[in-house]
Amino acid sequence: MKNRIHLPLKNMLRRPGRTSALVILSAFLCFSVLVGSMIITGLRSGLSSLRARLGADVMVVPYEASTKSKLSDIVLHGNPGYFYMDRSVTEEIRQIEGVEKVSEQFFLASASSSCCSLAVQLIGFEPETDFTIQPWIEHTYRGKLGEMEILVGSSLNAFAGDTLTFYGTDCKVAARLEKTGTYLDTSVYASEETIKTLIRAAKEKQLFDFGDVDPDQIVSSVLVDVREDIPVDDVLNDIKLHVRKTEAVRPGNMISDVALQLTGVSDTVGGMIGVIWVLCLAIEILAYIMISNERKKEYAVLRALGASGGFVARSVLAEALAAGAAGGLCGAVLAAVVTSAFGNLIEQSLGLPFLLPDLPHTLLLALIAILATAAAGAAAAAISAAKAAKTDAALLLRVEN
Amino acid sequence: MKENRLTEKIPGIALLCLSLVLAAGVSTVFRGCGPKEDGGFMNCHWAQAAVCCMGVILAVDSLILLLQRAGRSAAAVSAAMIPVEIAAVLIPGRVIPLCMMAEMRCRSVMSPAVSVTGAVMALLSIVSVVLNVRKG
Repeated sequence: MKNRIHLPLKNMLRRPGRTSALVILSAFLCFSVLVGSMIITGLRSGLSSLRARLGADVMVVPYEASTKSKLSDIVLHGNPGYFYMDRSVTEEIRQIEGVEKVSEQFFLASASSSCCSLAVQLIGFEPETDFTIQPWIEHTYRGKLGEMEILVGSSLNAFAGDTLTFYGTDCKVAARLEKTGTYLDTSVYASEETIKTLIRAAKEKQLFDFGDVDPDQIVSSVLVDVREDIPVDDVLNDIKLHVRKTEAVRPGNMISDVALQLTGVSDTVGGMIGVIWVLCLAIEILAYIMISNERKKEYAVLRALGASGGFVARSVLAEALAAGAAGGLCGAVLAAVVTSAFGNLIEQSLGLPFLLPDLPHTLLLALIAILATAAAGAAAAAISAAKAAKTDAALLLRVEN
Repeated sequence: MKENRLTEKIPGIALLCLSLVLAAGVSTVFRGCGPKEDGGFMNCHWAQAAVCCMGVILAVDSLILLLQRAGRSAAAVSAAMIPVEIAAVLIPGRVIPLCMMAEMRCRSVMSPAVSVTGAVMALLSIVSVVLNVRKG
């Protein structure tokens, strides 16, 4: 038993160059599979997170919003923007049959401030009627937002108690919200009163072309929750027919485009992992066959000393397993460090909702990747192990000499 | 004998390369955000400048380490590099605050690149200390 463990380890330590090459190859295998699976998992989590945050059945926006800029850029990707319609729209929507809940939202894009050169999307909501943002906010903040108090998404570098200035107006950060992997992470949330104060400030500074709007009489979008016994499309068509100068959309349909893109990216990443695995496995199999040829004499000596064919085969497999496990561990650590450190960059490059898996999920993925890498190493060495087990010591040593 | 001396120098050579990567990279490949529209700089610019200086200091330290014979003095030089490397990791974001949004270059590229490079350098310095103390 002692020899079964010691012999493979001593063999590995005796040939550091060969062992390092096998460990690096295994590390690359594990790295590729873990990074790939973390990206695929992150994309799926991001999509379900986005689906959960866009909980409304119907979203009503001013008609100009669909022509001014691509609506999905603001709604799904959080590109800072603003559009307004008359507040009377809310009451008209409320009168439509099948409408259960209605909630107003207000959008405003911040100008670049002293902190950074990028604009931030400001979203105002009514805490009393909101049914999409509030459930998520309650995970981290259960209080009532006071005047000039704001909540910031997790991607913003601000914490509770900090003061942020928008259009010369100071706002106090009440809490920093939990990560969603969506555009909501880069937005700032405020109550209706606060956002209206900010709209007034922006209007006074003439930073945007607001026209002749009265902040008290405007709304950016109206979110509608439809009664369960009424088809959503019926309500959507009713709104389109009866509420003028507006555009009614189903957020779910917008998500389907994102889901399609996500499937494409996931398939590409999955395909790349597959190609990398096939190539690496082929290289490993070749490497083990070459190593086995090189070590023929060593196996013959072992057989001559009385080791059984099974012992030699197990020793070869144990070496492959150990190299695979060590490489897998290195690759997993590297993959975890790279994906967590460069998570924001990956998210930006993909341009899709992206939520990295939490620690227990990452550990589980890492464990699976390490086991798969070790098993792949052992599988690649199986041919060599079988050949080693069949070594005829007498014949080989006679021929070699 | 010659091979042994070369093996001893591996941490020093790696540290010199990584110091140069840190000093040059933070000003080029993984630099922070550019200037604002009004020409002013954001906080991350000063974090970038500080890390660049630290990269240069670490490169000089690495050269001194390479010129030393393996032993206690080389261990001392390696040990002296560790706090500087930790400081390089802590400067962007902790000592000097970075920009507001996670998608900005200083937070998505510069900070993680400096953290990973600095952490690898700190590990290499620890390895160098252990190897040199053994020799000493």
